Amino acid sequence: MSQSERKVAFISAVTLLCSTLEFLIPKPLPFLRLGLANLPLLLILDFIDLPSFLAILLLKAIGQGMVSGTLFSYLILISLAGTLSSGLAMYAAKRLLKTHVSLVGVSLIGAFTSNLSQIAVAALVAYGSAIWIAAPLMLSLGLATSLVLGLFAERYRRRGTFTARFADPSFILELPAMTERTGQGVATIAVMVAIAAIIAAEGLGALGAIVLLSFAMQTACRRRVRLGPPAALLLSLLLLSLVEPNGRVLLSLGSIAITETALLNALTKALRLIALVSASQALVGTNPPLRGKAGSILVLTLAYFARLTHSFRHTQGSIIERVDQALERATGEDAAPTERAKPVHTPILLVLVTLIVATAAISRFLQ
Amino acid sequence: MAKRYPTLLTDLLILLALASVVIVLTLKTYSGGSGYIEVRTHQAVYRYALSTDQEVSVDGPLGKTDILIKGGRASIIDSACPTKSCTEQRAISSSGEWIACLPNHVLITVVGSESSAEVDDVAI
Repeated sequence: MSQSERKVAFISAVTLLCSTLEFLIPKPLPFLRLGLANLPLLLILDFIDLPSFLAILLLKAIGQGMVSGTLFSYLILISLAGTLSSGLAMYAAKRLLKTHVSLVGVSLIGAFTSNLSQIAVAALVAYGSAIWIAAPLMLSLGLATSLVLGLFAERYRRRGTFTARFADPSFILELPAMTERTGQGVATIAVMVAIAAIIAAEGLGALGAIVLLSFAMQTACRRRVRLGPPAALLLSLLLLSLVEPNGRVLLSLGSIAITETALLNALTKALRLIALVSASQALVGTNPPLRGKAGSILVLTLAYFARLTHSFRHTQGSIIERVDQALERATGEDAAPTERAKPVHTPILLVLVTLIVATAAISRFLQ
Repeated sequence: MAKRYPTLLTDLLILLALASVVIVLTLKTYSGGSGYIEVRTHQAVYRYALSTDQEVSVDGPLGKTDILIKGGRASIIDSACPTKSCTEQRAISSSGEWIACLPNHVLITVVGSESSAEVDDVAI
C-alpha cells in the first residue's frame, strides 16, 4: 500500500470515527443529525485531489455500511446518494469559489445537497413521495447544524495542527495491525437465500414471523440486535401513511384518519424493510469476501477505524482532546491488540434460513 | 469586519440562497395538497388520496360502486344501480364538490383540495 493509499484509508477511517462519535453526543431531537462525518471531508478539501476524494467518499459510505451492518440494504443507496452528491458539491464549491468562500459556506452547501438527495432517494426506495412533507424541517435543521459545523471546521483549520502536518508529503503513516477476516462462504450464501425469500414473502403474518427469524439469524451471525432503528422506521412509515389516506376509515380526527389499506401497506412495507436490514446485518456478520484493490483499501480503512476507536476508548479529556490523541496514536506504530470476533454459528443459521424460506413459500402459496 | 472575515459576503449569500430555497419549498409543501375524497356508504366511511391514481370499489346495499381516481380527479365508472346515471357525472377535484350514486347510497365528497379546477368550472 502506497502512502497516498494509506492516507485515503486513514481519512475514511476518521470519517467513520466521526459517525460513531455522532451517536455519543446527546441531542435534543432524536432525528437531528450534526453531520460530524463531514468534518474531516471539509478539512481535507484544501489539499486533496479529486480521485482520492472520490475514493474517500465511497469508502466512507461503504465503510459506514459495514460498521452499521446496513451495507446490503436499501439504506446504503440513501447514504451513497447523500455522501457522493454532497462531496462533489463541496469539492466544486471550493474549487470554483476558492478563497472567496470559507468552510462555513462549503459546509452549508454540502449539508443541503446531502439532505436533498437523501430525501429524493428515500422517496424512491422506501417511503414514497409522502416523505417530502418532512423536507422543510430536515433542510432547515440541516442548515442550522451545518452552519455550526462549518464554524467549528473553520476554527479548527486556523488553529489545529494535525491537518497541516497530515497534508505534508513527508508525513509517514504506519500500517495498522490487520484483523484476520475468515470468510464463511456457506453462511454468506445462506443469508443471501434468506434475503431473496424476504423479498418474495407476502402477508403481514408471514412477514412478522420472518422479522423475528431475521433477528435470530442476525444474532447467529454475531451482530447485536438493536430495537431502536426498526421501531423508528415502523413509526415513520405509519405516520406517513396518515398523509395519503387509502381505504376504510378505522379512526378519524378531523382531516387526519387511520385508513385500512394505507395502514396495512405501511405495516407490510415496514416489516419487510426491517427484515431486510436485519438480514443485511447478518450478511455483514458472515464476512463476505472483499477482493481486489478496492477490497484491500476497504479492509485497511476498517483496520484504521478499529485502531482509532480502540485508541479513542483509552483516552481522556474533552471530546476534542480525545480525538486529537486518538489521531496521533493511530498514525504511529501499532501496539494495540486486535479483538477477534466470534465465528458465525452456522448450523443454527442454516435452520433459521430454512424456516425463513419455508415461511415465504407458504405465504405465497396462501395468497 | 471585512478584513477579518474576507469570506463573509460569499458565506452569507450562500446561506441566504439556501434559506430562500427552503422557504419556497416549505410554502409549496404546506399550501394545499391535492386533498382526498371521502366516500360514505350505508355502512362505512372510506378515504382515498387524490394524489394516487387507482381504481377502488365500495359496497352499497345494491352491490358494488367502482370509483376511478386519476390525475387528481375522481369519478364513478360503474355502479350496481338501475340507471347508471351516476357514471355520467363530471369528475370532481376541488374541495366541496360531490358526486353520488343515490340508489346505492354512495356519496363522494372532495376534502381539502385547493385545485385550480374550480376556476375552470365556473367558466364552463
